Amino acid sequence: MWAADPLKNFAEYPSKAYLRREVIVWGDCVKLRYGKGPEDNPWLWEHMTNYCEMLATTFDGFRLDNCHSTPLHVGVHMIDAGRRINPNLYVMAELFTGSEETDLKFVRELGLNSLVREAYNGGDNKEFSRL
Amino acid sequence: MSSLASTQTRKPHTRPIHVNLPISAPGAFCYYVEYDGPGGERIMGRKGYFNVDPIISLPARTPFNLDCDVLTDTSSGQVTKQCQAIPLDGLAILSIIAKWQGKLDEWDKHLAEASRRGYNMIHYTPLHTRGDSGSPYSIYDQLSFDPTLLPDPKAADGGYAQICDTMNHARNKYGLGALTDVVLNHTAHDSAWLGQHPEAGYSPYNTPHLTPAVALEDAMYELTDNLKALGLPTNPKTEDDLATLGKAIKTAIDKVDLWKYYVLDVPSSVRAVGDALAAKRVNRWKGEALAGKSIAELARIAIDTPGFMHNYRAYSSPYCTNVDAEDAAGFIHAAFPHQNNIQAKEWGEILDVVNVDLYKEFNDDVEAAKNQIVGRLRFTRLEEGGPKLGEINKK
Repeated sequence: MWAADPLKNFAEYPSKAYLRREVIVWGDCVKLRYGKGPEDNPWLWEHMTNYCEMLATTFDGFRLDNCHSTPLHVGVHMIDAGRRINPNLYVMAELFTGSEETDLKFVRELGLNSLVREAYNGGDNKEFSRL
Repeated sequence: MSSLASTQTRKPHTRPIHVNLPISAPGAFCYYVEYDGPGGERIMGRKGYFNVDPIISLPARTPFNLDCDVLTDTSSGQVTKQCQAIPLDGLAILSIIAKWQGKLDEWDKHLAEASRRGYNMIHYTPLHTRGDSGSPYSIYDQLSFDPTLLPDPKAADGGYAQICDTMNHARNKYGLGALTDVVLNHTAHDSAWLGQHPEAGYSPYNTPHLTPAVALEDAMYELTDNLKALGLPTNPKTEDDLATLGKAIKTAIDKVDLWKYYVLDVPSSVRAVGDALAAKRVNRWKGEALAGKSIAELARIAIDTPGFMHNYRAYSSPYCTNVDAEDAAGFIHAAFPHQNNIQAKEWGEILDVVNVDLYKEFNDDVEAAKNQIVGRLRFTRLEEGGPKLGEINKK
């Protein structure tokens, strides 16, 4: 979704983004419904935690894909799970919230070590250096 | 994140209070001070955050000699058996799209080249079994690895040991650490487990306000199937084509009567209230005084009083928004206590006022939907910068 507030879940009430066709649909994916916490969807939380823990046993770090569309409390839980297995987990994230303040919120609550940005979004040297 | 309680004393402090907190692990930390307020209430201070960087340790390398061709001359930049901590700014990370690299046992020359080029960390796009679309980010099963990568695709552990071996080999022989994507937001539409756990996704069943969105989507699918039959352009090339399609889209949307998801059914409610009043089935109104208030004010009170109007702006089903007839009877009786013959009609007028904003909202939403659909068509099929997808069909 363009210009979405990453701290608001656009699939959940009160967002009408789907009805208004504002969502850019990736036909090959199903958005996962985490709710407010593990009690809302226990199987999903356990499955995805296992996935993160398994990767943390083998890899030196994670790249959080689509971090700006992932609910913050989910990211925190999953990274914590990974760090319990590998305390020195390096965490980078694909994060463009459109607001430096919101970026900062994600960085400090997830403990992000670096951000992945698309270089071609920088049209000139000044914009490039701001990415 | 951890928390620490500080002991209280009675003496007023004249110096800052120091708390020593040994931090023994990297990660994200949050701290705050909690104290007793003047009225005895507990006050939580503002939260502060700090991050502690991880220590990344990789095989040390001898210095590179750039006077020779470092790609082929391996006498410099050698990987040693000694590990050392690398400053995070010293990470040189190369992204590799695994599905283009062959099986794990064919990766050696790629890893060797990355190593000779001075990289010390590889970022692997997801190595898991891919869904129908073949994108590594559309994961079919998060807990097993892509069999097309595995020398032994039938391994009982889903390829875990083979992946571990490869990562260890890359590190020990080539000095390369490994990062990989964690995809938390979505899963492949044909994921192995989605059939058993549909609750993992959003649907009208668990997220009722999506119901009208699905109805609209179904209408669009139907329109797509009927484009030829209706004589509409299936391969829009001009703005005129888009305008024609836009009209057809609006007509199709109108047929779905989505407005019912927003508004109250006035005639039905008026009849029910009339019946309730006549049968004296009236739940006495217990809220603020209503006599003498304008219709607009009464509408506002009806909306705002908790428990009175059900499913206001819930959008979960046609005419989901309603008021129990007995409650409405009590309300209207309190508003027009001595005018029995007009009470039901006045109730209708109040609902009409409530519906005004709801109809506005509905019109705004479907107009937005139509414009977004046309805009998407414009981008995907017309614009020079867009993908120019051509024929519109079910896909």
